[in-house]
Amino acid sequence: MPPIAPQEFWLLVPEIVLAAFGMALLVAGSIGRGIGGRMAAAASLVGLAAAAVLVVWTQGQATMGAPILAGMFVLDGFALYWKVLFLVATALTVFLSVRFIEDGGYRAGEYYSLLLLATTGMMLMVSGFNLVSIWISLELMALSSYILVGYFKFERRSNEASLKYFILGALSSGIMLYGISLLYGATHTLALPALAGSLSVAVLQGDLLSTVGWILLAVGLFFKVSAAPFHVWTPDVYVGAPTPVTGYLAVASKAAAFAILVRIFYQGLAPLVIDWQIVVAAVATLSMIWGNIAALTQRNVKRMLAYSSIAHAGYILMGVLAASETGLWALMFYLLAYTFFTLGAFGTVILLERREYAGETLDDYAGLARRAPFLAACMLIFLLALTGIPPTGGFFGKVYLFAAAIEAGWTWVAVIGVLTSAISLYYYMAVVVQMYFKDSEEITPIPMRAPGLIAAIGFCAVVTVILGLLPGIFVNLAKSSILPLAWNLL
Amino acid sequence: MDFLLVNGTALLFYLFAALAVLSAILVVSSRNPLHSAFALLVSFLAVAGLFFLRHAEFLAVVQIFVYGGGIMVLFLFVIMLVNLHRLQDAKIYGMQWPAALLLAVLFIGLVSWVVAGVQFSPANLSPAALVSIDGEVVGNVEAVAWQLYQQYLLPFEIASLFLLVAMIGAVVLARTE
Amino acid sequence: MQALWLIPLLPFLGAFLNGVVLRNRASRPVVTGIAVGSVGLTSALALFYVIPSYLRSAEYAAGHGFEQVLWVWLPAGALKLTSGVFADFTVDFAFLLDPLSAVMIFVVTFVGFWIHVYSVGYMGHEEGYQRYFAYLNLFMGAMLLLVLGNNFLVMFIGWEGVGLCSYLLIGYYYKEEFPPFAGRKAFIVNRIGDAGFLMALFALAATFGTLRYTEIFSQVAENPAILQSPFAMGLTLASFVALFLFVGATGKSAQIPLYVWLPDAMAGPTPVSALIHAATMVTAGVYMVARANIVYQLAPGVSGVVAVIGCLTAIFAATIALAQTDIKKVLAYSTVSQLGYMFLAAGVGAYSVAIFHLMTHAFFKGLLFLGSGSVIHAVGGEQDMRRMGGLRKMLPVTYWTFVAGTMAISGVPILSGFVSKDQILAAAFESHKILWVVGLMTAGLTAFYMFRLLYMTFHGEFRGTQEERQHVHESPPVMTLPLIVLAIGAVISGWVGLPRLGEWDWNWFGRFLEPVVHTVGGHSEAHHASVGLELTLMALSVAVAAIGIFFAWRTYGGAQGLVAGERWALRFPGLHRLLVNKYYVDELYDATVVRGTWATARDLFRFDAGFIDGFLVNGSRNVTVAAAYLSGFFDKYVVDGLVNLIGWILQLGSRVFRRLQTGVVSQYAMVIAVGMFVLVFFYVVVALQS
Repeated sequence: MPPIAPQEFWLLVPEIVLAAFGMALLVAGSIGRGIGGRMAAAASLVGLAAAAVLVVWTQGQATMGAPILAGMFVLDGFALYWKVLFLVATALTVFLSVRFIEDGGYRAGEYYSLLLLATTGMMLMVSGFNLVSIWISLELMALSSYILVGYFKFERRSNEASLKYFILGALSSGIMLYGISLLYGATHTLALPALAGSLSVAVLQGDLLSTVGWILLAVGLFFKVSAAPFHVWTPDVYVGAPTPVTGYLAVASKAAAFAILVRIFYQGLAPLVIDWQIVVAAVATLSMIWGNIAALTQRNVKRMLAYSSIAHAGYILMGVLAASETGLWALMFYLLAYTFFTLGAFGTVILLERREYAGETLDDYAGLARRAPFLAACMLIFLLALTGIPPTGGFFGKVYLFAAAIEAGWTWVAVIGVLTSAISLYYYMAVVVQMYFKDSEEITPIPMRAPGLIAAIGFCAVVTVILGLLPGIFVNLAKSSILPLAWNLL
Repeated sequence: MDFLLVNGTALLFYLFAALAVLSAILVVSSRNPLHSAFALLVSFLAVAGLFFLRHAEFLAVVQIFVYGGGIMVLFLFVIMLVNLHRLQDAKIYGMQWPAALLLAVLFIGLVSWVVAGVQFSPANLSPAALVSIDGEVVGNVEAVAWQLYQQYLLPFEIASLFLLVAMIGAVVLARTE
Repeated sequence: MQALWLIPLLPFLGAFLNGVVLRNRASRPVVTGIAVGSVGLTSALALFYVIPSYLRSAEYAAGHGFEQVLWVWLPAGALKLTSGVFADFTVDFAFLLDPLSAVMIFVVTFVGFWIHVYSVGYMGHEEGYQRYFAYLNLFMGAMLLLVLGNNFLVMFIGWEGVGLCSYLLIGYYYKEEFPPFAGRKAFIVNRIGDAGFLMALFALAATFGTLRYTEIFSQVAENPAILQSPFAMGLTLASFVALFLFVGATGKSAQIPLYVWLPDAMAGPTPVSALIHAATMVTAGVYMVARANIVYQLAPGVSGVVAVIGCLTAIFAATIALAQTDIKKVLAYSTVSQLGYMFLAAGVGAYSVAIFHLMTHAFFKGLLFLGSGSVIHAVGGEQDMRRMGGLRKMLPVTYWTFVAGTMAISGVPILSGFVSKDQILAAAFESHKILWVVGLMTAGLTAFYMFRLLYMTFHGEFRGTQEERQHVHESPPVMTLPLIVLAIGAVISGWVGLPRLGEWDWNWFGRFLEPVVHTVGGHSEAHHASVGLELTLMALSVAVAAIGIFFAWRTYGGAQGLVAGERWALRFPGLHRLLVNKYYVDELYDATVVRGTWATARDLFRFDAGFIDGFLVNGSRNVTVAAAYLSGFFDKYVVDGLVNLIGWILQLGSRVFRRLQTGVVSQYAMVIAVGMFVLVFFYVVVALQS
């Protein structure tokens, strides 16, 4: 094993800077009465922007795809794509959070600090090339999330959600770690490429130990992407968490989990592709059916979005299922689009929440088109995108995913996807009907006092439409970022 | 006596393993938090024993110091300070315990059956592999250090961030505003 | 011709100005100017520049379409086809102008423009005037996108767009209880169809590696065997694609079993019914089948299904129309019935005739709807024909134009409806006699219910109150002018496609569409019947129409029209009730799917009662309702059973899943553990067996 060269750490600079900003915010938050909410938000945005610039800078600094730091860390187009996406999603979350934290009266320093540290975890994870570094980064992200979920500690629901998430998260981490240990026992390695090499031998020998190992590992990952039946935590946690955190979980956490799921499945478990396709197909199908059907009867918009997020996990898993280049970029494109329209939808919910938990039931949306036409129009775009109706990014995302599944010969899964997304129209449209076709008792316009939040919502809406009109640019981006990679599968 | 000499390691392994598992069961099934804490201590120590058997002396000592010492003391402090004895009346099993038990037995059975069928290669059985770096035999502490600061440097650093977050969490959630 | 891209753009621009930029800021004249002006410009552009220049172009002379690529929409990417080769899959945002789309944009812009003009008068007093026109322009843009796209994806965008506009416009009177509900019903029923459309689209993309019409069709023309190869679900590719496209068409074009949304869609403003739910959007399914005619030609089995469904829908809806008393409901069922005719034509392979009927229907049905709007406008919003009567004198222009429309749809010789319907019947005759017989019967029924409508509305004595009588007035010129224009169209538009009689071939329309609908094998579309047979068939359909008109006159023509009509009703009370209630299909769908799901959604919110309780209570309620409806006559309409079942499963599933979300952590852990165990167990067992 060659010793680690000091200059290798330069490639970690984005993560180091982000973590440094997180720690600085922590310190600033604990001095005296703590840093102000807006200041803290501004500082986080600076940190995120700096990290984004550095991520782009690192692109030119490394031999792409060559593992460094003793094989723990890899910098490739795939990782860069996700890192930028995480940073954008986190920045949007910051915009979503400012007023919410102020209104809640909670300290801002620690909140943003945790947000940045969670994002650091995601970035480290997606560059992870060894199950040890992946697992510990995943835990960094997860632990920060548990605390963020319970950040409104005087809210009973927030507390309860945090505890549930923590307990179930610990369970899933345990399962995953056990799986990793079995894999190690079977293959004597945890580095993804070496793992693939050993597994290809193990497959031939019909080795059962590695089978149990990878299934347990997969269960842990399915838990993180909230795919059925490992999604059970999702509705309660999404409803209980402060709404910006819910948005962050639904978007950034999910994207990160999918990114690493793809990396592990495509690079580490590649020889087992025929085996894991069956599991992924089953889990995807179950998620689509379960998520969509359970969402039908929800009157709480956050809970509805939680089930919708489970259903979306099912759709996105189709990209994994395809086990092809098409599937890979379809998944990357979908999560990009999903980031914007989902965060936008949560942003709208936040704007309607006047302190604590109002603005959550369907009835709160009655007559929104008259009270806040701009907000209603944005929400309409987000809901259309969630349903997968053109001309939004959601439509193309779904088309690519379904096409990838069909191309790979999984027509029946795609059929279920198409049918269940037809069902999903029903509950998304329930919100539209409330907004456009129902009158509320109050007719006063909703005060638009949160320019940052409104700008973020508008930005999400615009991007959602652009992704529908010019998907080509972003598809090319996704495609080019997977090109220089040694994907064992493709 | 010959039997003990030849199979001593195996016997000790089963002894410690059984101890670890049984005391872990006691941890979750005991109604008295103090009993649970002591059962946990036994479990920690049994695991330390397992580490010794694998010639991971440094790890075993750390296990005893950190878990058996520090963390145990913390547990006991908490139990005494918040007076957890009241938990006596709490219901510790849900309605579903028979199903859970069945599932656990089935799962353990399944995994044991799988593990029993595995042929581990001899290299894996040799503890010497752990204490040789680049073909040079070194002591256990050096070996661990070498691994930690070379091979596992990055995860080690991430773990430090992880612990930081855990501390922030504890402070944030416990602090009165 | 290069200005093709402007045609859909102008209405979109109008919608954008009225809907976003000037929202609530423009005066009515400005709104009117933008909305009518943009459609007028598009219309003029299409009729006087784009289509004429296409007809003069070299492409037309060579039998090709003119394609205009605006931008590369989805860039090239390797797509692994079902055949195993990799294709460069790319989709352009591009338009295609060929005879078929030329006819479609002619119909859409021309009829659309006059309906816009009419709306100025009809909607003049409504609030939300600007919103109305923004939606209407948006619709025009989406519809033009649908017919102009050069590939299935652009068509799909338009397809979804018109669905959305239809939804918004049906729910236009959102303060009332029913319209938003009807709008949603339309949207959801349509989405069931759209799922089918998407499946067909994927199958095409996966097989051909492109979605462009010309590429797909030329590949097929070169090698029809591609489409004959088995694909999925035991179907050949052609059958699979044709079947799923047709599922899409049944949704959009209101065919059995997805027709239920169209009558409810009448809750929207009447000009909307005329434009969207009679003349243009609902015919999109027919356009799609005609567009993909090569696929249908290679799927004779599915074509048969199309013909049979069309034929059944035609007679089924016509019988319902017999007993309706709401003037717009009669026209709605009549539309369903006429759409059935179009699918019948398409199903028996007479694609150009289907499009021909689509065009004449756009004129006369648009006219009839606008006429009914004029009547409703005159009598102050009343839609029940039993409270009308004797309006002939008071609304002369409306009356005479309405007569023209009624005669056209009833098949009075040389009017447009006669010419097109006669060719459908002739084509059906050559395909299968039973289709022809049913079509002929439908023609008789059509003549009957349309003249019944005419007599009940315009003849006899006025049956409203004296006060209402005072208010009756002819509509303003801005509304009557479109009626006159469309009435002229309803009379003469058929003359461009007169049936071929031996040597006399005046069927310019058929020849015009020939390049688009030519047969795969190479032989010409219709081997024409002898002149004698053709004339006999024609005489028969005239006779049947005459009989229908005669009965309508006998029953409703006199001064005591309603009494005579009620005598008939009394003589066959069961049948009459059945027809009045539209075979109870709506109630069945309603009681099972719609209301069931809604009720569940609401019940579950305060879901305390146990799973079994709710299940049993709701279940017995639904069963009772269903049994009550079924006990009469209609156990044979088992189609609903399927829909019923889906409703049940969804309801049941939602309850089960809801039940699993208990909030208890240990139970969640249990679910996870069970999932984990099942996966591991499955694999160990599988591994052991292999």
